[in-house]
Amino acid sequence: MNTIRNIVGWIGTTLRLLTYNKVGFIGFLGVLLILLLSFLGPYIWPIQAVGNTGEIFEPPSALHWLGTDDGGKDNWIQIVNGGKNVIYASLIAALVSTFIAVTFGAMAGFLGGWVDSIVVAITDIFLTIPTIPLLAVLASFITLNNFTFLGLLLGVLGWPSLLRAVRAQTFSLKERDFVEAARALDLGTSHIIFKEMLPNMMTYIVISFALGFTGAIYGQIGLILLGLVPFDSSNWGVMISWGWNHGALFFKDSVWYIMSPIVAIALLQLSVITMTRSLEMVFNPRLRSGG
Amino acid sequence: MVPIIELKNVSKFFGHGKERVTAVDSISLAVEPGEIVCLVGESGCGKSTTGRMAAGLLPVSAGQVLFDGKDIAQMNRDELQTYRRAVQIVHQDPYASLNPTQTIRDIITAPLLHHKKVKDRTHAEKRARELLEIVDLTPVHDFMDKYPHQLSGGQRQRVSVARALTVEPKFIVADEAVSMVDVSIRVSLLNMLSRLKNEFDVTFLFITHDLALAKYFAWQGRIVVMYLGRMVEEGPTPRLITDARHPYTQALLAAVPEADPELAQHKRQIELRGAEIPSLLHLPLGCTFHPRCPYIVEGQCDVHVPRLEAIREGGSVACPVRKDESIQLVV
Amino acid sequence: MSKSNLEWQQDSTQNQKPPLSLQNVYVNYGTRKGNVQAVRGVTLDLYAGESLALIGESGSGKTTLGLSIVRLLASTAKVEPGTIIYRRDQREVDVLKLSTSELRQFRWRDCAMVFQSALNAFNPVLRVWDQVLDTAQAHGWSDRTAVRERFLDLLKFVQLDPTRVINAYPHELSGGMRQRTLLAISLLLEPQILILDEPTTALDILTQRTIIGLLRRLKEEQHFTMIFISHDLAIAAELADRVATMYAGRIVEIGKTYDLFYQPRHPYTLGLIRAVPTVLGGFEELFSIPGSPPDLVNLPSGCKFHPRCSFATDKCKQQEPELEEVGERHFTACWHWQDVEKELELHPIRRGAAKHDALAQTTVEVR
Repeated sequence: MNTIRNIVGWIGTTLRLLTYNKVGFIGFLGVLLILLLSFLGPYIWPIQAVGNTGEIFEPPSALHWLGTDDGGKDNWIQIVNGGKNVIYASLIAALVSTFIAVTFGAMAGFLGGWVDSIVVAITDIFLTIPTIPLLAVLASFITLNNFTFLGLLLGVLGWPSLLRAVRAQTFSLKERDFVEAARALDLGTSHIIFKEMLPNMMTYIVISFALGFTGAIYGQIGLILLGLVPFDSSNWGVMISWGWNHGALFFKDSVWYIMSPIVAIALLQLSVITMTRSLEMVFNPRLRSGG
Repeated sequence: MVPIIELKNVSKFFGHGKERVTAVDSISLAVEPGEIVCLVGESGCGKSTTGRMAAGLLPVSAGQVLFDGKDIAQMNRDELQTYRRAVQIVHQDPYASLNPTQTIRDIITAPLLHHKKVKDRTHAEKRARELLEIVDLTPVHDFMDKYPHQLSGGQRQRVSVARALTVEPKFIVADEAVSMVDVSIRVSLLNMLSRLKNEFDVTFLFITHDLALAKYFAWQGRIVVMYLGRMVEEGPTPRLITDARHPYTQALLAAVPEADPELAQHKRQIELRGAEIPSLLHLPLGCTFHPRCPYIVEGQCDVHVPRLEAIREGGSVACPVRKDESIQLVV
Repeated sequence: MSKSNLEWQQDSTQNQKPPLSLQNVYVNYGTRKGNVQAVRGVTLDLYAGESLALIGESGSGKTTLGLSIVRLLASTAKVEPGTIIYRRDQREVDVLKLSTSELRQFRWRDCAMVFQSALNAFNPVLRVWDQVLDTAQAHGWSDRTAVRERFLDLLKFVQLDPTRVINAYPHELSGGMRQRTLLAISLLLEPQILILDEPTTALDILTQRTIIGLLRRLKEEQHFTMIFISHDLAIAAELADRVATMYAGRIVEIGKTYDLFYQPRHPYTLGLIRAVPTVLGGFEELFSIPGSPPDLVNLPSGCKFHPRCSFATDKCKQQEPELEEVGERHFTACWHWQDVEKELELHPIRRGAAKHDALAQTTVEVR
């Protein structure tokens, strides 16, 4: 019973803290909305196999909320169905890169010495790898038609800069008086890392996670646009790529088609980034005023 | 009596080769249980480094640290653990010494639970309240759920002390513990520390740059003056304040601004030969104070490193030239 | 150094009028927590050639008051109502009405402020000389040799090696040297008034003494008009002619230094003095002031010091006292200053006397 009450209490406090910053809360709602639409929306608006060739490049109407494409397919339905895979792969990428960066960055910073030297050396090597050309090469060997795999790949390539930052933060936190006090109190290494140091890096980690997420979206869209990832299913990247290849840029009427995925991506990015303002509030008690 | 903490020829070097800096140079100091010892000196004199080595938070480069007569380098796991917990530190900066992401409750209960000082959370809570009361953070319920940033500097220092008390320490290194606190509050903090000494048998090593505070806190104890990593003078506080012998101690006493217009008017000024403190990277030979000392004896002070020699009036002085000469600082 | 050498533009011929007069000055900050009442109705005259110390703890408003005189407050601060009258050579201006360009001139030529953190005051990538020249040129003084000559003189005055300092980068100087360089720069354009915010805080003791020695020379030899802002009573005792104690944004007591230190009439001043130890004054019992400094957003009713005051009565909770004259040029804002006087008769501040006890224990030997 007590645990349930604690969890409910924690959720309540967190929600209250999220509403502290108005811009951040709007971002939070935006993310929530986009996630709901992308993951539940397809059940309400299932994908159309064929379009109505009589309604090509229609402007928005009560029937077609965002107009139609060059094949007469509804843009809104494509947008609703096209987010899931992009978001999924980006989440995986962000989780993987944050996990690698935090684990090894904290380890290198905390232990120092040769562990640090090795981690730094590996990081430097990874930093010099140009992602897009590497993926281009990889694409010629492996078929990148699996979103989990694509997410993993982007994640494995995306951690070095965050790792450096986490390592630097660990170094400076390690010297803080309150960490020294915890050492004097003999509270143990795991307490020092997880209770004293990690909470002080949470804001930074969450923001990095958000940046990793948005970076992975750009990465994917870029790959799709370059044709390096041959996806056939509908997704935002494919929509842009398709529109681009079919010369949608040159038709005035196609503006609704080409702009829909661009705006969708931009809205998602904006929501995620503004949401981090509220998340800062959750993880950094100093930002909550006096009270 | 066996000293609770004893430093034997302890040195600390930082860096290597040409960059090597001697922060602490062969210091020997024994602190008896119940004694109050004050380490005094200007920035860079090595007083904090010495304190952190005594607290086992910084390894020594040379020499030994003894706890209850036992060398900590020779201790087994259990003994080391006992030493670890018996010696605590209170830091200078009340804004850096508490974790900003934890409430006062978390800060106090964590060590209690970790070291099984209490049966369960309920008892930890109870003990935490008692500790906050001991450090005069009352009413306690006003503080338990606060974060450090919601407290004043003085209140935070009290939390730091309460946190140190969770492990029932025998020895506390107070490193400039009241320097950053408002003047009207300092005295009550010092008085609180004195009370702990009597009620809980805690021995204090009080580190400060402020001679006036040292005098007040350690009037019954001893003051140790450090300059550029070395001890230059040491002795019972009343003697050291009224009859300092080392030219550096005298210069410090003469220089301290006095919070009293009469005293300020009538203090004798000691003119030093140089204003700047030498860099630790290029320490002068012989006595490190000789380039600034008004009593320099050439061929002696700039050649031989002076040893601490006991004087009749109490304590010892590292200046063979001036150790038997008193001077009058208020004229 | 002779007075003519430095050519201070001291103007003592303005019909005995004080060069600086603050009339009922208020400063408020808008913050997320609410309105911070940092300064509440300060009236103060600063006379030519005198040095005045503003003492008080954090949140007393002393630094805000100093900053408001040179108008360097954050943009969220409102200075109203009140006037800050500045006088020089028959000229009389309200500092609060100066335009931006007039203000810039005012800050260097009339009323210079030296800040606590000497490092931040310098541009780290410029040599000291470049910064000095920039400052001089910005104020229309473009004669390089003249500027250099004056600055070299000033460096000598602050006892620094001129050739070494003038070509140094700020980080190459020690804390004490930076503080002295800053003092020299602030004297460059011959201001009439110097405001020093915590001039010795965070410096080593021997360096503090050097700075105090310099400021004393400015005061005694050059009769400079100065305001010291400090939490440290010692600065007041060492340097000031007059001392003003501030608490919760108000001056609660002001008087000549000796009067304030030996015959304080405000419980807060008395509390501060009894809380601070001396070094050579023998062993004295100290007392702290209970409670903490006030929350400037939610100030207590009546006298702002009443929650921490042992003399407080119901009257103190309801009405805030105004400054009243309790001696020659000595003013106190306390309903019970006579009780403080009686208390002091019973338990006088005996530091001046204590010094003789310390002496008695000392074997006298002077080289």
